[in-house]
Amino acid sequence: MSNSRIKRDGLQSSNDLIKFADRLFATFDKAFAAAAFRTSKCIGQSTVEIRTSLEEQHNVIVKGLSGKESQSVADCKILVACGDSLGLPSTPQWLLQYYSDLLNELELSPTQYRVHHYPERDFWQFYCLESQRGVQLMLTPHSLPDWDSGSPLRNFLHWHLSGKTSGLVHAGVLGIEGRGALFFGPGGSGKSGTVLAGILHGLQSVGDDYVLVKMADTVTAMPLFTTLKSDPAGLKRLGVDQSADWAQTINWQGKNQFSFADITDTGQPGQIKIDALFLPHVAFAEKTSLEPLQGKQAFLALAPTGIAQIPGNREQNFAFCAELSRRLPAYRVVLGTDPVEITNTLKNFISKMRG
Amino acid sequence: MLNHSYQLAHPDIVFERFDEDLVVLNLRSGQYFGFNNAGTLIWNALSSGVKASTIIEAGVKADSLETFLSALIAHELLIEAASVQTALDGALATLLAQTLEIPSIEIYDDLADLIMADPIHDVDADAGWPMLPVSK
Repeated sequence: MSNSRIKRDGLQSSNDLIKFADRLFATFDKAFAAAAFRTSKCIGQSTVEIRTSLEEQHNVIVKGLSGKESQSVADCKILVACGDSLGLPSTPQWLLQYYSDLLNELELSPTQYRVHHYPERDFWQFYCLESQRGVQLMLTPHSLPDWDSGSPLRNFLHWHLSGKTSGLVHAGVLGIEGRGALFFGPGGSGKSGTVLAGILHGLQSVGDDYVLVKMADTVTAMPLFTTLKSDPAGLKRLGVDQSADWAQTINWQGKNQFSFADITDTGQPGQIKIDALFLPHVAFAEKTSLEPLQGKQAFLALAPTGIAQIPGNREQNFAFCAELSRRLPAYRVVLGTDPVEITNTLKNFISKMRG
Repeated sequence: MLNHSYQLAHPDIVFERFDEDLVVLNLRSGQYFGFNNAGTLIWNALSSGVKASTIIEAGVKADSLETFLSALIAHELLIEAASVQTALDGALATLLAQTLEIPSIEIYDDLADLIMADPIHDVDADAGWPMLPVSK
């Protein structure tokens, strides 16, 4: 199939995006019915049904998304397809020199649509809040952002699952016997390494990067993705056997990308109750210690990266992270260098918090 | 400047309170701002349409208010409002009179690049697990 022969819609404004989305969702039902590869996952308390005609994408999604297969009626439907297939419109082209998710989403925020576009790969995600349907539209089966395999369909999950009392949070989780803490902070803060060390030394986790957090009488974190990441040197320091098959997959960041099932028999629990927020700090300390952190400081470390990375509903995400930071005690984790000592310190602290 | 009323520069400015401080995010620029307690009180008054001169009458020093207000305008958080004048709430007036702090604004500019960037996952350079510094 030569893409140069396909006539593509040229878009250059948020109004164009809305008109295109109207056309796209008018074709949704037929295309969804025609897609051969299907999976239905229970994520949080939602059932998300995903269909595609692309086998490779289907495999990435089935492998990368957490949650049990569900037979319940879906409350969210997502279609992954190339433009001009399954009766869908062609993948549109953004005609202006620059595309800004931020500026378009401010225009789209009063509408029923949420849109993400990655121009370098002609990759689009359209979501209709009203009908809870989404379409990931690609130019070719491989027109995906490099990071997609680690967190497939993340934006759709955000648009579908986020609200006043729940949201995607850019954080990892460690716990013991169903109780634990959220680990957050910018790249290099030690978040992923701390979570991985904890998992390898017997702690529970529902994720190292993005998790679904629900605030009710208690705060709980639930898994979204099965993937974990570490740079090869980090794996070595943690004493992981890197000759295993799973340790051979290197992602776009030059990191090993693997799944919970590769390194632990216990897998991901369905949820962990969250008692605190932990901000790791790489300090090469003699011993790991925890220091109280003000809610404002916790918020300023928790909110920005998630708000920056996930398009749409940023105002809601800002308010959600603020409420989380006000509600839970926060601590700076001054990290030592021994993964076992770090894990034991965290284990003791989490156990004490639960009383 | 001090005889004018002000309003939020646009609807895409959101803020959250943490004890006595306020964190403000301008979604259009991606800039975060932190106000101390005095700044928070003044922000509450100004953003609800109270004239700057009324806040001075409540006991806030004119020069510190002017400096703070200039920063709010420069960072596109407030703009002049059409001739609207809101009365200063009594409780807020008392708090403004009692505060001895100079209003301050912290600017977290480094986050703006993150927010304005395309949402490339993990844009930060990642040092990973704690590494001992290499001794030379």
